[in-house]
Amino acid sequence: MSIRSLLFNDVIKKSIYKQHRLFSCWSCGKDVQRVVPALFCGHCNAIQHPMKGENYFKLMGVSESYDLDENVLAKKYKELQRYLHPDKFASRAKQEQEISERYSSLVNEAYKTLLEPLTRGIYMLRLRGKDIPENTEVDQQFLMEIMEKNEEVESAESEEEIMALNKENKAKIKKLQKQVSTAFFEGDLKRVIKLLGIMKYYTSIDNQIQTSIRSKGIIR
Amino acid sequence: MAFLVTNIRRCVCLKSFSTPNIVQTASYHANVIDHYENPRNVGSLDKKDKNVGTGLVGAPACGDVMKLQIKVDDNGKIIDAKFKTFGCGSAIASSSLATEWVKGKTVDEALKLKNTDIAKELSLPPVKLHCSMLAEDAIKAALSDYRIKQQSGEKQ
Repeated sequence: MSIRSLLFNDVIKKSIYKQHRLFSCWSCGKDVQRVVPALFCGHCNAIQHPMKGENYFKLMGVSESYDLDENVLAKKYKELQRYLHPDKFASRAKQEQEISERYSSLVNEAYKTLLEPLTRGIYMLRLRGKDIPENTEVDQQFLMEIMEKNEEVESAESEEEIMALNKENKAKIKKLQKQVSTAFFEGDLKRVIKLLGIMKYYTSIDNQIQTSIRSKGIIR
Repeated sequence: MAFLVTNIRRCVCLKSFSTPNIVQTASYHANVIDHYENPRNVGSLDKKDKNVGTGLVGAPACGDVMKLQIKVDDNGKIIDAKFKTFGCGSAIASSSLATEWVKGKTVDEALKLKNTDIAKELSLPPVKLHCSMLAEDAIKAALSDYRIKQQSGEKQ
């Protein structure tokens, strides 16, 4: 193993070790101490339950911010699953297998939620006790624009057309993402709700575009 | 081997939507699937026609947009209805059913249409109730657009 990969491994391990937890291990009953990594008991090496009430950011070990680095999140995800995936527990005790299943699917859910700018925003909104309202939108000019975009996607036939729409729509979502970030930073939740509502429409259009790209067999 | 067999059966069931056991295997009710697969009255009416009312509504919680139009004859009876919806199966089914129901009704009768009736007919689960609400709002918006057009027509 080269020095570089040693250093790299050390950095990742340290970041997982950072989540210290103080409680006794369910398996051997001994106190789990500070220096012991969060995922396993330092005495008997049994996998530990995920912390109750811990939010997805803490679970994934990333800082709680709308502007999270998706590459860092992906790295953390892979690292966690390397330790938690049920495949690693095939020969372990049944209870450990169950914990690993639960923990691993929770990590999947957390990763999926935090990765997408829309679901991340909605999740952060919910952490603040707010949600996107279910009332009906009536801004005619805006709805007309959304309707037209949907129709454009529906009628796009050539690869060029659909890819141009894809590029345009992705840019739109990116721009909204920046605005949401600013609104979160300023603590303006009303604006966050408004912006995420708009983002939802464009994300729906994005889904439609991706379906169209797949059905046309376009390889990128 | 047993798990393989059940998996295959499930795939077959999901593909052949017309078989009666679809109600057990699919999460959508048969009525929703019927309207989703064979939507009634998809299309557009002439927006500028003074006998046509247009309702355009959206749901920020799910990103659905719905356009519903009605054409009213001189006796105040709805003779045609069209819709165009970009959204989930329940939203499409709700607006399809709504256009079917308002056809042949008078404007006043159509105003009484409730989302709960749509939800009941389609057996929508609680999480999908807002889709039927969107259809009700679309009808209301179309009727109100028609009224405004008629009133401004009288003034001229």
